[in-house]
Amino acid sequence: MITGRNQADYHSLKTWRIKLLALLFLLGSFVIAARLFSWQVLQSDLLANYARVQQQSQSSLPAMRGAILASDGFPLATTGEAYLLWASLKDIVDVKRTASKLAPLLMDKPEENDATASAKTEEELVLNEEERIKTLLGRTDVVWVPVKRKIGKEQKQQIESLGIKGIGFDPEEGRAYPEASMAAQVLGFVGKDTAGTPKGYFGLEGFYDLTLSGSKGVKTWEKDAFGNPIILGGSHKVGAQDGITIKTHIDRSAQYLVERHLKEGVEKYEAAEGVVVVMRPSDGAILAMAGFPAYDPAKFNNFDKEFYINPAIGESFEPGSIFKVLVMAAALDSEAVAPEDKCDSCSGPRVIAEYTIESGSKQYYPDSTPKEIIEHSDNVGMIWVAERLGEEKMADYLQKYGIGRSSGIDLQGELVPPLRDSDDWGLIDLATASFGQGVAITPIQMVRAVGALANAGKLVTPQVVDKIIAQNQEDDIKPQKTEQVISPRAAKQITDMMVNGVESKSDMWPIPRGFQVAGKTGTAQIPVAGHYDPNKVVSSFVGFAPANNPKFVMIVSLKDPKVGQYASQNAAFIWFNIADDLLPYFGAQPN
Amino acid sequence: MKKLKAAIFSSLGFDKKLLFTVLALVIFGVVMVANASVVDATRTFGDELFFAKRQVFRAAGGLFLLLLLSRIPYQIWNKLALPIICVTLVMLVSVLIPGVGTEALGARRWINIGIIDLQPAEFAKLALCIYFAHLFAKRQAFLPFIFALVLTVGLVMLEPDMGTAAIIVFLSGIIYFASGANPGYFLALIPVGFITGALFILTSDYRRERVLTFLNPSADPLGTSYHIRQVLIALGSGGIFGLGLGQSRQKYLFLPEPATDSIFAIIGEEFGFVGGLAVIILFSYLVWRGLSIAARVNDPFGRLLAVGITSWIGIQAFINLSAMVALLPLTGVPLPFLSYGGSALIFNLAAMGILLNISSQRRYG
Repeated sequence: MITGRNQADYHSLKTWRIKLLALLFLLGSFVIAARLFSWQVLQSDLLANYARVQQQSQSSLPAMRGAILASDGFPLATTGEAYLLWASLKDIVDVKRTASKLAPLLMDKPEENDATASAKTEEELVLNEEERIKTLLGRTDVVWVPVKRKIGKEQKQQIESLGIKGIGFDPEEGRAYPEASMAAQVLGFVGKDTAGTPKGYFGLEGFYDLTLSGSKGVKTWEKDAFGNPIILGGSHKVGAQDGITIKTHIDRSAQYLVERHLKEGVEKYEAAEGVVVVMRPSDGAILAMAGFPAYDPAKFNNFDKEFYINPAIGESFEPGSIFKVLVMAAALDSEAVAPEDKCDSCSGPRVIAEYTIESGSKQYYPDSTPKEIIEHSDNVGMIWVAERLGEEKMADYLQKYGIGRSSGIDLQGELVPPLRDSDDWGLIDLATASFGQGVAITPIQMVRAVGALANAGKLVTPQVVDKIIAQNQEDDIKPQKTEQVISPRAAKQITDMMVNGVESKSDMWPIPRGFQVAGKTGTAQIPVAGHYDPNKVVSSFVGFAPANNPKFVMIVSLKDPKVGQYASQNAAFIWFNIADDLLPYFGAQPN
Repeated sequence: MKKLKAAIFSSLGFDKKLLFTVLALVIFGVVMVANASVVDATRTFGDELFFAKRQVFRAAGGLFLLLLLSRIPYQIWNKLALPIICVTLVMLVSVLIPGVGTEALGARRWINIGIIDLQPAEFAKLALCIYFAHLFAKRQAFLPFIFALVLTVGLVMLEPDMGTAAIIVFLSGIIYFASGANPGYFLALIPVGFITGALFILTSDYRRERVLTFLNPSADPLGTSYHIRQVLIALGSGGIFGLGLGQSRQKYLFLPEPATDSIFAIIGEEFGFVGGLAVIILFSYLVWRGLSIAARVNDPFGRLLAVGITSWIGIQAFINLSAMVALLPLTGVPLPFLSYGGSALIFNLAAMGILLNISSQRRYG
């Protein structure tokens, strides 16, 4: 019995130890299973994401940038074939000979408009390019160098025909400009953003960048640890959505002749720069818009940044006498003055506070009517008009004309100079504003406001783009709602005064035969640090024609012309030269 | 047909559930080795089934050995215990001799004997199970136990093979514990084991690095922690139900050792948490069957041998799985039955044969 009990004790003791072992193993398996649950269930998303990151490769499929078309459908900017020329250095036989062969084909042609390049002769440019290529090909730290970007198809064929060893081409997307630098400042250009992807800057390229650029596609595939695609792996492709093409109101012929006349004018009158905007008053369509000097969007990098700015929307100036028509129209509309009223303070210079204001010609016309005040561009007369109108209404009307707010034009880079607050108008401010000093505006604001006078008092929103074209389907971009700024009666009255003003100088100006033109000159002083520059002016002419049924409203503005003392001697001539070409082109019938 | 089956199994008279568990693991292992090694096999040998073919051959050999040993009365090992341990020690010494032992990846672990590369350390685990069962079946032979243990572990560490050494230490401790060890002696051994282990870790750069990586896995994602990171990515992308058989992406050269030490990561990736849990349950069930066999055997040698063999498989499986789920540092311990490897599979199956024989005799013990 005793032995048996001992054996049983011994046995149960050992079984107890085995049971403890089994328990420990069981516990271990629980811990492992719990931990496995944590990795595979709780943290699965995070880890699976790491897996995707390392197992998948991606490449983006470029979307083709939409074109910018002129009103006749001809492309002003388009996405074309372009190439990167590269050299594989170990395959280059003779660095010196290769460089001298390539240089004449690769050098940048001197820019007509580029002041920095014109100083150099073509020979120098070739030598510079040869030196640049030699340095590139002589590098020993790399085996492959990009030699030149954005090489066109023809240029590529020329280079290929040379049969040079060790060079080759890679396709790259390039913006092509079939009309060269036409409307450059309206178009803007395509550069690269900080991430290196193409991005539109300024003008239409900037404003419509998202529309034009479309959306990139993505191709994803699975790879092994060395980056090779795996056999059973899937691949996934999201096709690129090509950019949308935009069709503008820009009329190629009008734009061409505007640019030609402007360039000739700027050169003839030795102006620092010039700007012309031609707008259809009925719907705000921008038919032509040009600044000079401009730049070549295909080689925007070669130009200083100031050339990128479109002066029609991006530069402000004090308008001077062209502003008088707006003030007068406001006074007529509000019946502050009537056409038959006579100025009772027009017999000499006006003294307001510590300022003495003279008329531009130093001549005075007592008892002038509004018509005569416009005809003589009479500053003291305008002060009389403005005083009749009053500060409050002056501010109100200017605001209604769109001064001090964005014109709403569909271009990137619009500058909006602020307008004095309505409760901040002093007597002197009212007086100077009446003849367009002490207010800053942009040419587009001016042309838009005068457009309202031409359009029976209705203010339109200027618009460059007419239609967007996606998948061969055209969608009209409707003109924005118009605002009635002044009554049709007041518009007719101011138009008649402007026509009279132009006709009074018919012996001086080349007014297109058989047409009534409503216009106004303005020679404004340029404010410099708190006072006016005694030597420099901005000469402008704004007007519309034919006066009774305007096909266009146009502003011509020259900054600092050296030839001709007044706008009537320079800007007006450019205006009439352009109008002479535009009127028959737009099908206007002479009376 | 049913009668025929019944005839075969009743004549064998061993634990069929244990056999089926082992068979399930081996077959699954062959499939997973074939699947997990396909990329490496194609890349290295130009034959996508290079590893698979060899594993099938070894599995067949191992299963034959299992059936053979299940028919040999286990008592014979009690008598052969001393010669077996002597042969083991000779092999462990000879593997260290240049020209006899084959060196790979900085370690001497293999002896080439014609058809296969034999890993003496794998044999040593089985041999120690037999020898310690033999020792403790008669009496509490503490000194010979410590002597044999230190000698074997020392030789294994010279290869070096820290993983196997750890398994040997644990399984020896368990046999000693199960034999009714003096609690004082046994408890005294635990700190000694820990200090020795810590010394080994601290005196070797790569071991210290592995432990540091384990403690701070995000330290060097492309260097030392690359392996565990890839294991966890495989497990995580498997999710609950896995990507499906053959759908592993991590085997495309991201995951190191996909067919050997890391095969569980591929299982987790392809069969998800469900598949991984099934493997854990299979091993737990195997351990439970093995320990219940041990509990029912009255013969002290048979009981301790069963405990030893079961613990060996259990410990090795749990060390591998714990490393896979980042509970332990990676030590290069293969997963029994599942990982690619000749010696390991063959000796694991041989040990199972002996365990099955013990189970067949339990009623007469």
